[in-house]
Amino acid sequence: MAFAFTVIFVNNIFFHGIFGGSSLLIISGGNTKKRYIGGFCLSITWMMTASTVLTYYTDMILSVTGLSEYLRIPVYAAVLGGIYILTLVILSGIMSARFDNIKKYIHTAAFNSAVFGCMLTAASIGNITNGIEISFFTYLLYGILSGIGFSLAVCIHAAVSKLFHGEHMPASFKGYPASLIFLGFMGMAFYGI
Amino acid sequence: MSKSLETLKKGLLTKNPLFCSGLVLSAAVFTSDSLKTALGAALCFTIITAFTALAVYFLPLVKTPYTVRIILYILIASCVYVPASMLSSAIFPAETPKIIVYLACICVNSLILERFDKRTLKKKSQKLLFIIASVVGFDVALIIFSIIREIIAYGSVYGKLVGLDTPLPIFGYVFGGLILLGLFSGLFRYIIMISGVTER
Repeated sequence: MAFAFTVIFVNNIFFHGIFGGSSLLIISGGNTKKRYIGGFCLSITWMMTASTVLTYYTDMILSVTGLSEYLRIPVYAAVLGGIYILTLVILSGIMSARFDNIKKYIHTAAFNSAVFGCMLTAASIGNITNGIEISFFTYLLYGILSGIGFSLAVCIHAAVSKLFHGEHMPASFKGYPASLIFLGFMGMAFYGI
Repeated sequence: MSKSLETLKKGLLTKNPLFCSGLVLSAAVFTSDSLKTALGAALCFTIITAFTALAVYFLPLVKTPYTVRIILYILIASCVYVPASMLSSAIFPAETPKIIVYLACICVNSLILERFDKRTLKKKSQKLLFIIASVVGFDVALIIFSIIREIIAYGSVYGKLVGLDTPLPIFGYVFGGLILLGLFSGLFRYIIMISGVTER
């Protein structure tokens, strides 16, 4: 319970680490339909879970091979690409009628610093090469909870983002600058936890 | 105005990745609390994005499906990351380990994902010019922002005190960086608007 609270609120992947800022602004920036935001949140939670689970196995293999820390990044990128293709194949099979509509949100959910940062953070907290044994279950839980934490940030921003495009907003602050200031104050509130 | 000049203006000013479009936000906000870390991030970002753009320019990817193309971009960027991060570690040995996760995240930066497939730019050379202008625009914006943020937050520039009596360390935090970037972005857009570079 304490782990869940920490990952979702105290160390929220967006408000604490600012991972995935651009994707958050693109998805919840005002023009996206609400149902797509829900789909995006599910997609990114899936991507984070799958990527952290595969990070567990990737790290185990890499620790045996003794590969340099720098060379881990191309391996993680290849893993992410594999998950992306797998997700598209599964979705084209089960949601073929709506596949074209949801396809564009899948790549936003797959390739962003939130998912990549989640992989790297999971790898750093459970670095097997440092002799700290972190269980598979912890990796899995970390991925799910990080996804929920990021989805929370997306939902908070999506709930108010229309206000930032209103008539009352000064022209130069419309949209992006107002969103940043709002997210900054939300980050301050999360920091207070 | 010629097409090339228009493209340059877009990348540097009206569609500046940091102040106008919100691209590469995570690396920019996290690394801009001091000039040293910002320079490390700018160096990595420039090498990764520029070399990936050049590789994409010379590869025959026109008929390749987007799904495959996007994975190729990320793989090329992650391979370029290896020498880029080594160079950053050699130049900024104390600062690079603090920001290494964010440097790795540059491989999946939104500028690569969003601007490499700009449909409004038909010619490959125009796309390359737009990306180069965007990279320069991002670097200049990040360095200026980090200098001002370091002065406001810690009263120093490049680690040397500049005599500011009342620094505001709150702007050294991630949330402070977001607020300050929001204010800067609004100010930048206001200047662009009143200077007549773009219409309201």
